Amino acid sequence: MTLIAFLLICIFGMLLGLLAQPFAMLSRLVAVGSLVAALTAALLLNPNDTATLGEVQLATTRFVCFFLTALTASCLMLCIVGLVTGWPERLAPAALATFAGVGFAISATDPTVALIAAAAATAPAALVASRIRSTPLGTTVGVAELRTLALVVGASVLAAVTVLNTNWNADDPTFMIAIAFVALAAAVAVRSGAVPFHVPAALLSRSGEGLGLVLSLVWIPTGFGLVALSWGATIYGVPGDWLDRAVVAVQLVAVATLVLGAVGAMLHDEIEEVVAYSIVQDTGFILLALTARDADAAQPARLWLLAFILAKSALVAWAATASWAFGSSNLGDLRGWLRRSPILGLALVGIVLATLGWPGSDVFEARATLVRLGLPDSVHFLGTAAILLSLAYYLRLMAIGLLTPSAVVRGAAGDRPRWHPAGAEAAGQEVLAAEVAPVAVAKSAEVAPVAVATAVADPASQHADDEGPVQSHRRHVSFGHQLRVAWRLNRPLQASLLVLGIAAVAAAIAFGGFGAAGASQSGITLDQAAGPIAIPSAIDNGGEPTPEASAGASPAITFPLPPSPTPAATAATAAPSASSSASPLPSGTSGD
Amino acid sequence: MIDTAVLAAVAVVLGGVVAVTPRDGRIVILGLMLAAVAASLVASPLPSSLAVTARILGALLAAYLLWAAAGSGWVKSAGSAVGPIAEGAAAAAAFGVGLTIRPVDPLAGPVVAQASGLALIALAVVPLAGRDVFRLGVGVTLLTLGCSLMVTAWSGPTPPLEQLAMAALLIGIAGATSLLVPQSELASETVVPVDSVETAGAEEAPARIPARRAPEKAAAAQPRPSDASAPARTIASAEIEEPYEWFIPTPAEPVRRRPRASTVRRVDTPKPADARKLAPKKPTRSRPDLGGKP
Repeated sequence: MTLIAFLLICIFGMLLGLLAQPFAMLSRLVAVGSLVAALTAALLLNPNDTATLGEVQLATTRFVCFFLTALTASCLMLCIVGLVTGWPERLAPAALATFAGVGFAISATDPTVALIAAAAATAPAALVASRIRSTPLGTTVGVAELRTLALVVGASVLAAVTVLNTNWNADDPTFMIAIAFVALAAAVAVRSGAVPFHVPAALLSRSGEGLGLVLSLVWIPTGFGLVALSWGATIYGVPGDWLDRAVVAVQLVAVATLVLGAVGAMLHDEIEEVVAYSIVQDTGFILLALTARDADAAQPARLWLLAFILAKSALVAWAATASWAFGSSNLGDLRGWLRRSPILGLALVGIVLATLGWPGSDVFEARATLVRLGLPDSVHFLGTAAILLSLAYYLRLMAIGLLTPSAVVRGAAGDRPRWHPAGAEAAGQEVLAAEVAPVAVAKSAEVAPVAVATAVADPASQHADDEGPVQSHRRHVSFGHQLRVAWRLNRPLQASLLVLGIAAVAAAIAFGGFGAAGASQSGITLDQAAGPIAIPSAIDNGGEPTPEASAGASPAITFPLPPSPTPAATAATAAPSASSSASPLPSGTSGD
Repeated sequence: MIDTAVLAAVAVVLGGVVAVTPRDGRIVILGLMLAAVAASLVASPLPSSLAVTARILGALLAAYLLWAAAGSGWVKSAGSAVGPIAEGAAAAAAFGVGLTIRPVDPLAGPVVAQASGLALIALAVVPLAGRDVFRLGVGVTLLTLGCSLMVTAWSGPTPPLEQLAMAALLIGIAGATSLLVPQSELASETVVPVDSVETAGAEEAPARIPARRAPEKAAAAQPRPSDASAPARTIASAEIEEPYEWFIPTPAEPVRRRPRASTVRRVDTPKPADARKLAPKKPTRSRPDLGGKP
């Protein structure tokens, strides 16, 4: 029931958010309230919750709960940043719709339902892109969005049918599996903007979407990628020439993404484009997880997805805050930003740590494992190259921040707490007018107008006036008055602190904090549905037997075996917990 | 007696042909709705009433979203370049191929589901290759319906939740299409007569201006001919050579009506920027005689 509650909150929050769109304040209130409610529901999700809906069982695992919590938390944090830096129109309703679809997809035990729901969860990206629909750029982005949606739908259905069906009328039964693998990998690659398909992502980054970028480039690809990865080690682990060729093609895309994405981030001068290419580069690891086709790649892939969500959300928030604080997104104008905003610099360091980690940390090992299992031995150096290239563009951002501040940066407020006399006076007049008027009117209808007018026009004169309701009220609220003035004067500081908080959470998740490492041990429900083939439910659930396994009952969905399993594959199914060397495709040789 | 699935399959193909052929957006949407509703019935045995209800409601809601985006009127599809007969022939050919091939043997569902699914996928290919956003959305919808029919044919009866997920997907596609259709394209197709309304300072305003256009854009628009003489083809969004603007809801500017003759102030009121743009590029009229006053 907790899962149903989460899904209902997301759906109703989305509907309310859309209905409230014409009213600025109400839409923000509804969006933040809905996200808070969704986050609360996600935190209260029961890891062993089950519900049957439409003859299909929905079930949760620890990872499902953690994944949905990470999505809603990152969206809520970004929306709070947006309250300061500029409200992302339509982001919250679109994100809630996506979260509902992802919730259905990763909790359904039926592969077809899971993939169709995952495809439906990609559609709300149009909500964010629609803001620019009346521009030539918007038309191009819209065409790209719809074509991507078509590819995602086609690939999802083909993959679902391929997984379910064993009666293919073909000489080589792995041919259809190879086609489904290519289609699913292409859908993941196009949706996440992998390098040959990166143009829509780059165009979107130029559209001034700001915080809205995160939905199209991070949350939706992650949700779809998680579903696509769920049976990679079982269904696509079948050896076959066609499948091996398909894997090589996907490996080429992954390598190009890892290298050229970082190069793109280094070459561009707009901060949003740097962020977009950085995200594109890191989606290469999702493709590597697809090409691994190994049970050992499942846990690192899940941990990487969690770190990816938080770290890239923090990066988008960082970029939006920097652009807002300095009034420009061009790196030429942002010279010296680090001197002016050291807290943003700290946040960027946290983001780098959350993305790359260091040797021995969870996220670093996850990346290294994906490179080791997803690529042939001869190109394992690309993992190190990807880290170095990533460091290069992050260091470039830092180095630009350490230069002599440009005029734009010098004119910006920066992170230091301020109490500027002129600003304080201006803000104080507003606060005083708002606070004094009701009291003055209540106490003396005759004196109040004159008193309020005097107070607003010349607050300094109030110090000399010891009589009257205005002065007494002013003395009463003076501390709160000062706090409110300080709050108004230090918006950049607040935004920087928020981004630092997001980066800290991302770093904690990337290092296995908050139970992320343990949660990533358990798969999503679809993994358990695929259990009869290779991964028993008891092992895939972090070593804890599922209710079905403990009761001795078979899972609700029994997957058919892949067609014509070879002796090697049969041996692999008999030893599910064996290392990658015993899998049908040895690690590092899958693409050879 | 003819099976319900066969009748529904024929309706699906007819709806698909209707969806890709005409230029009037309303007929396109009706064709899509017919195909989507009938697609839920191409199964043997028929799905449960809950599943069919979900699919029908999804189809209706998807059609409504597209209809609402079209402003209940004049959004136009680019239409078929080859005409309805050719589109029908292509669909019929794909239907025939679907009746004969057996990629899955034995089929778990009715063969007409495979045939109609293949026909819809064939019909969706050309719209998916174009750049007209509305037609592209029609193509994605047809592709989705075709894929769902393929699932029915190859995997057999589907659970109600899958039907519900498919309905949600159709709604999502329709919503995405309605959101991504360029606003200028919608607005340029919706005109209302404004003969009785005139902006102050512009005595000869165009006879018609787009109804749903922001004031600035309305001012920049060229005078359109009447509906009867308007070209029937749809203007693709890429062809519209208008100054594109960010879609930011603009508060409606009060339209100044022509004042009565007795209340006309004969002063040199500077023209508003909008009125200046709206005024036709003709030699300006000579100023009226003000009785010797400057």
